[in-house]
Amino acid sequence: MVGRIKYNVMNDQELQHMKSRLEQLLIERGIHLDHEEMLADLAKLGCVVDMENKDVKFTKELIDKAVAAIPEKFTLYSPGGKNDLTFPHPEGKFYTRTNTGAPNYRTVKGDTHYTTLEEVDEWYKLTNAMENIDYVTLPSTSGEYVPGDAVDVYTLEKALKHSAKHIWIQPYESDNVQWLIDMAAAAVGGHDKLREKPIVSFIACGVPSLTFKHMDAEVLYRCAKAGVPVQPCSLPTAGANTPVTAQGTAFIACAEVFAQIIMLELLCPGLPVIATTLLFSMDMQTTYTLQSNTQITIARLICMELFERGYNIRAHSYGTGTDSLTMDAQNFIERTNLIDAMAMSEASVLGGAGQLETAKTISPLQLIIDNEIFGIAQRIRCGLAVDDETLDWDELIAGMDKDPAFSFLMSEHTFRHYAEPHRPDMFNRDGLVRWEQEGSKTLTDKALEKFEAIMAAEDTYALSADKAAEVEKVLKQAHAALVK
Amino acid sequence: MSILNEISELVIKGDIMGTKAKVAEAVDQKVDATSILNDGLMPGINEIGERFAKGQIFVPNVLLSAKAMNTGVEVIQPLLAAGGDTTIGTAVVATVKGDLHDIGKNLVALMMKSVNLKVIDLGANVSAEKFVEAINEYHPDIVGLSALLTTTMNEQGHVIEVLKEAGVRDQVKVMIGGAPVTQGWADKIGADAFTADAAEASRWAKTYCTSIR
Repeated sequence: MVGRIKYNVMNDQELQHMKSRLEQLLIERGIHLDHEEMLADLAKLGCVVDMENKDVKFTKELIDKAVAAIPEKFTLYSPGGKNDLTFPHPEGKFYTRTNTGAPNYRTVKGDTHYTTLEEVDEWYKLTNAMENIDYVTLPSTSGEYVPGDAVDVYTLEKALKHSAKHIWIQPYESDNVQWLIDMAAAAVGGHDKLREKPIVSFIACGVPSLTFKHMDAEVLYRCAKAGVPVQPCSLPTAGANTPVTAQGTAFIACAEVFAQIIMLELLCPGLPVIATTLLFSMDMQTTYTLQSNTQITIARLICMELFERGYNIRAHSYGTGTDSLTMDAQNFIERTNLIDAMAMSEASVLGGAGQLETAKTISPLQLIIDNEIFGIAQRIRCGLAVDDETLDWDELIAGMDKDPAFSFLMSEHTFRHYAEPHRPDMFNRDGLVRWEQEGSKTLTDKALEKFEAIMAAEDTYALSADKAAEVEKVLKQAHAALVK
Repeated sequence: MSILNEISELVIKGDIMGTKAKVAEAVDQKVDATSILNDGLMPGINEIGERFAKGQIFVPNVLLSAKAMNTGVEVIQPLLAAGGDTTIGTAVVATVKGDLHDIGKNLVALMMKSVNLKVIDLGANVSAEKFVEAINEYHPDIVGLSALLTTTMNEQGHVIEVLKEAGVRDQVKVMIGGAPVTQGWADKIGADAFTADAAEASRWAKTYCTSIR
């Protein structure tokens, strides 16, 4: 049976306690929301709104109504049409995505600098070729290379033109949100078509604790109006802006994400949502934000379990990443430890591919290696079917192996199953002699070769010329409106 | 152990009520207030600073000790000369306009206070004009500009330009920080210092303020 291997990090009593406290928090304490239009709409929908202080509380009835409205099945569409993502994953797997929010780009030569628009092109050419990367984010292009007021708009133009895969958008300014939606609509032939087949989804993010600034409220509001899916997010840092305990941080993150989902489903019942809890912790010695703290990994599992098992809401968190600054042993220990744990969670999406330095740097070589790691993790998630065929019962009970002429290598059972074991593309499966003859290549060397082959090949996807022209038209309008 | 050494030890332990009581006891014993500050409280907080720099203690230890010291200072403040100002300098800190992320800035403020700087925290999403107003009002030695996003780090450069236009740039040292910020960026926009974390920021500020007094 595929997709059945799962960690349970909370027992039923703990899960119910978490759900109960979560709802109590939103009913009795509520949230702060800096968006007057949205506050007014929520008041009309029955939320308890204090317009003066911009505070919102929910009722149990509204929470239940919102949860009931969440679609159990939905699809995030891809621009190229070949990478549509149906939730829940029909094979019990998780979907994967690239890292978001990193300001730095580490080239294959090892140079690290602010991300340029040319590197965004390179990134999408690469992600199109990664068979285990399901959708993409917007690299954080530097305001040194495009107008600082419109970084997200310029980067989305690149994504729409070059990415064959679904695009997850992180806006940087309130004023840009509608332009980003308009640009995505231009790429598919209009807003109705975008609503019907959303090739983009958005990030909205709480600033803990339980406070939503105008930009993120604007994301929720405009996406609800446009029928564009949202992966509402919380980015807490344990000990800095949430409780120092991993459990307390998981709780706040879940509350923030849950509040966003409730508001979205009240504003637009049936809108696809994915609960996205991206947890960090603060190192109490250096004050640096960390991604790979062990307790925080468990907290991510708690979040996944709360949403997936507790509410039947698709959930999303980090599946790879490191606090190491480079591709060293620490890096690979941290990211494989994380993915091994998260693959066993109930998560529907695991992200962070290509990141180093606590998500502050993206690396093409790391992305290529993460593609391999995800391939391994998917197989762990899927598990193995146990039945007479996989046990080779018929051959064994017949005692065929007693026959001197018999060889497992030549058996019918082997012919049926020999290709099943996973062979990661770039991993060494050879002996020392041939490895030395072929240049003693490391995994990183092979990743570099793969990178060069992908870059030398033709682009596999480009937005049609007419749609690209429509996107450019919106970009020009957005530039005129946004760039001061 | 002298009463001044006991005060130092209580500050090192982060014993807030103990420090307050021991400082009051020293005052009762007619120990000079300046001596309580310089030979009791300050050695304690300096020792904490050294231990933190060596990675021997954690941020909450530093903050508890700073709170203990400040509680002790409150007891002796009325007895000190020159209006009782015991701080080594003043810093104005904020996250720049367009950026609402304040964790780093808050940490810098806390760590600066722990080395006995007076800190004026303007908050997040603060315009360049507000920095000018704060310089004119508080006459700080240092202005600290925080930005988490590549899109808002440009505002750090803008603030420096506005300080120049307002004629106050030379009155202060400008420190910058934030996840995407680098020394190269500091050089490019003409900042006086880039510090990579809150502890380094407080050390730089302490060194600078001590050097000009």
